[in-house]
Amino acid sequence: MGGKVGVTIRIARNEAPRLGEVVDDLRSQGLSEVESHARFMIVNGNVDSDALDSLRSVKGVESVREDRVYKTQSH
Amino acid sequence: MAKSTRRAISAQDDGMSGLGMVMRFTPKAGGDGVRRLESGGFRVASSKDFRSAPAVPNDFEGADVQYFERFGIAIVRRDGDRLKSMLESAMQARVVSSARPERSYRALGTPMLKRQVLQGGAAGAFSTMPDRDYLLGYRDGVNELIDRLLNRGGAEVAALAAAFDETSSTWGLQATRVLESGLSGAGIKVAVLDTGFDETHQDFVGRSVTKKLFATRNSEEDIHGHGTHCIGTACGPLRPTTGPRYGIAYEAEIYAGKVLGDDGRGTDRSIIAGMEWALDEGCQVISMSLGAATQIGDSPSDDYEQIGQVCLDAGTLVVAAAGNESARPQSIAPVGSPANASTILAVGAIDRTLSPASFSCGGINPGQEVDIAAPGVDILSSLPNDSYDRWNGTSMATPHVAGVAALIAQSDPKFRGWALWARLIQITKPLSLPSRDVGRGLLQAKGGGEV
Repeated sequence: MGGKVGVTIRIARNEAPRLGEVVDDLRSQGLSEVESHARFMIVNGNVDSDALDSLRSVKGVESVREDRVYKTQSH
Repeated sequence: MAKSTRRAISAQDDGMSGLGMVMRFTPKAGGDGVRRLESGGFRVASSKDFRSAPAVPNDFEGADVQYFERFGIAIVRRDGDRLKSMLESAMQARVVSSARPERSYRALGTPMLKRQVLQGGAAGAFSTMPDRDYLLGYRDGVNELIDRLLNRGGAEVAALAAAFDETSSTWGLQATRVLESGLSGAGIKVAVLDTGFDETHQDFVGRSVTKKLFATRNSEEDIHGHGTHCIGTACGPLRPTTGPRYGIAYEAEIYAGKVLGDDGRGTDRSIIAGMEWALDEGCQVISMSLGAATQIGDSPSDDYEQIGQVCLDAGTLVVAAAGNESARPQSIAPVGSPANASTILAVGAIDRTLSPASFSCGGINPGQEVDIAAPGVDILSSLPNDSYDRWNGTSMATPHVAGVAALIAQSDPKFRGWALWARLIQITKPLSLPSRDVGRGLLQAKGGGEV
């Protein structure tokens, strides 16, 4: 089993009425510490790194992407 | 050309009695310039005339003027009052952009120079005429090359940089015509998603400030300082406690979302949460001086494409830093994420001479452009604990755009979302630089004028 990774999951916009259901399905596939952003149809959470494909198989999910690190743009 | 040949064409070495005048024509005006010279009685020979010849005679077979068409340069050997008056009228008509006395050149690394450097080292070692000429010629050559690379004259650049007197306001506010706009950002909510904000700073007493922490496991304060600097530029006061004015939308409501940690780093989770918070709070502008580097060939994140679109549809403009990964002129890195999303306004940085900052990313990946350029070098703004300092970065350019966007949004309620984006782009000042680097041009708070 891999370590936990942060993920950003994009949900199809036409799934807006059943976003809660999609989030429940994602939880059942191991997604934890879930934050759901209904206006953006984006869900953030943590999952084992080897469970990304199982998240992608959830109905209504358009993409699953490992979180990136962003930084200030000054020097 | 071999060094020995280059030495042979030196004016002094080949026995020519004197040096001429080097005229540079404005682009595409070379033909007109040559006609003016010919009508003034000068005999002109073009380098093209000798294209098929085995050798080019140094004096172009005794011509008064040697014309180098590809470079747009003519060397006039015959001087006098007639040339002076012709030059004056040609410069007034913008046919000739510059004129200077010809200098003598010699090969680099001659034994004399080498010996003097080794023995003397100090400037005094170059006091004899040949070496002074060499240095002056070398300097002119380098300056000419830089001018051509920058596509404008050194005098113009120097005048521009000198024109920014920061006694009463920063050069960034002057270059973007903030002082002429007469607007304050009143009634506009500006979200700055960054490292936090020191709202106790002396310059922000009495301001409307809403703060929220998204970068969990971090302090609520702006330990890093970056957020306070960016908010200072976007929303700083009309009259700071000390120093010149550095802030733009001085009556805007400030929404400081701490999405980056005390180390200046954060992940999608906190950034997206901050963006949704700003949207829910009704902010008309979201400023994000943050980014992650991309590689050549990368595509923008569909997530931020969608998020930016939702914001625009809701009447909220998102501006983001293009990124600092370039090392110009050697390398130009592609615009970073999330600025590379087509629904987020990407901001590149320029310096006081209105040239791209060496670090500023460019539109290398197709469809992932820099949209607009703003001041991002030597930018004075606020820092925690009543401090101030000058910072560099596309991070500093971005809040210039956010602040000006707030002014424009204040000017007319129809300027929201895409309409605000379009208005910002519409009133930019075009720059003679590749759109790859500066997008549609320099940010302006007021349209239709010269900087």
